Amino acid sequence: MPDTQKAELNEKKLNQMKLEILRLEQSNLKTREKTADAMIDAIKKIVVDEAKKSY
Amino acid sequence: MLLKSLRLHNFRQYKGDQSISFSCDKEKNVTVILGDNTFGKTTLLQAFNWCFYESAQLPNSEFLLNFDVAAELPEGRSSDVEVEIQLIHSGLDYILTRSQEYIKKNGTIHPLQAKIRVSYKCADGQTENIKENKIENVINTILPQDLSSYFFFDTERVGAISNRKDLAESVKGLLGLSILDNAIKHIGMKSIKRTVVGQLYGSMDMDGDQRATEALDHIQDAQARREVISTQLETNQSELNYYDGRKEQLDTILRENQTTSTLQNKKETIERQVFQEITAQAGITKALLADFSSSYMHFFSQPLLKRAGDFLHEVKVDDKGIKDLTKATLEDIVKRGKCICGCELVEGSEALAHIRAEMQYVPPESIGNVVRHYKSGISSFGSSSDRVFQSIQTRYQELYRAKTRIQEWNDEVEDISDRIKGKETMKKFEDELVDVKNRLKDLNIKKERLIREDEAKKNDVDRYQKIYDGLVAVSGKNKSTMIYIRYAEAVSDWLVSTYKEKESYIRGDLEEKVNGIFERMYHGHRRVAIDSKYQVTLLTTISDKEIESGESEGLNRVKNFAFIAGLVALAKERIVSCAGEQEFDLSSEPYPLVMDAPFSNADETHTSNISKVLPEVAEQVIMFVMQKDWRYAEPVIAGKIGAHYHLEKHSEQFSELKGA
Repeated sequence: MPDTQKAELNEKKLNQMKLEILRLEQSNLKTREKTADAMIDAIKKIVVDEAKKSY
Repeated sequence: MLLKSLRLHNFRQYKGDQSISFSCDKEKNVTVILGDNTFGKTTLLQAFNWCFYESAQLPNSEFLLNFDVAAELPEGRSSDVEVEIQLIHSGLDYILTRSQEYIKKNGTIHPLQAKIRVSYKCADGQTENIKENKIENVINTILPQDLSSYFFFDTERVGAISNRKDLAESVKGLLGLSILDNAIKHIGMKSIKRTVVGQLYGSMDMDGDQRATEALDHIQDAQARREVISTQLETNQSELNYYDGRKEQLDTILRENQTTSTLQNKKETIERQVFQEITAQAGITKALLADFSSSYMHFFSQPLLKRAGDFLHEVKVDDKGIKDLTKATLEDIVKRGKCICGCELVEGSEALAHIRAEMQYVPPESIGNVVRHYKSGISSFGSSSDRVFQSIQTRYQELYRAKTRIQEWNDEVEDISDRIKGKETMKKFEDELVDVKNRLKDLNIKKERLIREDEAKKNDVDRYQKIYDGLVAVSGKNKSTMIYIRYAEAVSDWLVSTYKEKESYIRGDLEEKVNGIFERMYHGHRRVAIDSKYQVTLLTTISDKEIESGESEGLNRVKNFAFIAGLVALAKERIVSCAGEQEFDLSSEPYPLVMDAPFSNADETHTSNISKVLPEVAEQVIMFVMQKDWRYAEPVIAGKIGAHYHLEKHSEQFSELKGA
């Protein structure tokens, strides 16, 4: 990713997304409740919701 | 994973309901079940395999129903076999129950479809059932089937785990990398539509702009092709690495065995010389025997004749008398009255007196004449005997020299044979080297072609990306979506780099741990190596070089124990991934070791070492042990025992588990 684009990203939001995604994966690995498509939707929601937040 | 209990219902010789509660105590973490051969130890181990994976390595394994129960089953009625395992995994309590119904029809008992139920207890205490189509995945997450033979370890069938399977994925999953791997797959990339990034790109508002759509299609196609190329390059590189390594090995073998080849040639030359010498020796022996057969008289009489000659020389009786003249001849002359010289032989004449005097020196009055004749004969016979003796002596000396030469050559051949013993002929390695060089050439050509194609596709992506960005960046919605994409791609980059970092750490650390444990268990000088497929080999050092060493069954067992122990030791470690200042625990969790006859074929020292090490590295040890092995293990392991059972065999169809 070019540095100019990277500079626009908020590190706090980015780290929060990473942790939430890993938590979600860890949980689903135990229970397999969500299908692959459901996981994709859930992760996309984490990214969109977190990106919209204002800290 | 920690095993809490095992319940068996009519499973083989375990008639009725029988159960074991395993020790989950951290200090006293060993559960021991004692039982002799045929008491049902292996059946217990296989009960785990059947419950987890519907697979049991038992004779006649399709019929699991207890024989007594089967014999008493009325026509048209059915009976169940059931195995239930309670365990803790990732902080959740799971119950796995597998059952198989058997029905008697027309006097024959038929198995029906086996069923499996898996449930877990939620944080709020409620029990949730895992959906049927997810059960296999959940079980494989708890313990991958590929690795089950290491954790449900049937020591006497150790060969089953030595097949060359690629265990990399299973090991990584077991050690906590599956979380990262799954997240990487789900976030995905632009070229894969069913991923987060793919969907975000797809949701961009194209505003009817055909050119943007086309540009995106080009980008996705080029990216997809680059993915394929990347995979092909990885495979290609892996093959290149393999064949490079093999070429180096072959070069080394051939270089090191150049001496062997020279020695082999020398040995063959000497063997040819020995053959020629033996043939020549046979010819000489034949000639010697022929000489001896025809002239043995000369040979044996020569010393006697010499003695006779010497004697006759000393007595000097051969100096008077005319040769071949006898008394009878002279008497005939006297009788005739006239000598051959013409003198009249009358009484009183001087001539007659001379003849009568001569009669005293000729046979039979004197042997001097005969002796002179005999001496002449000896002389001629003697020179012939000398020639025979000389010839036999010469041939004998030749034979002796030949025999000495053959002995020396044979000694040399034996010495060379010892030096090259066990070294294979080099021809097959030379042929393989040619083949490997050809493969390397082809692979390098393919690699260059793929790199060129990838470069071209990358240029396509960059070119179309510029077009696409210019076209879609106009709308506000697209601007937001592009931000989401950047976040998603940044998360993806981070996941990929974290995965690579952790992955490279795991194998090195595992090898270090396995070697540490192996050194504690094995009282010799060898090292364990773990390859990229997580296969384990033993190395020994000879002349500063490490070579793969042979493995006895006992040593193979110690090696496998060390690998398992290393795996469980690593699984216990904390693996953390950092997101900014916050940490995320990727750690796996403790794993149990369930072992059938772990000390079988191990000597007293190994039994003692294994007993000491395993409870230290594993969170939980469950072992089915024969009484005879237990006497060596018990003194070392006694302080670690948290649960103790023994098997009581009532009949071939009925064994009972009894708590000690």
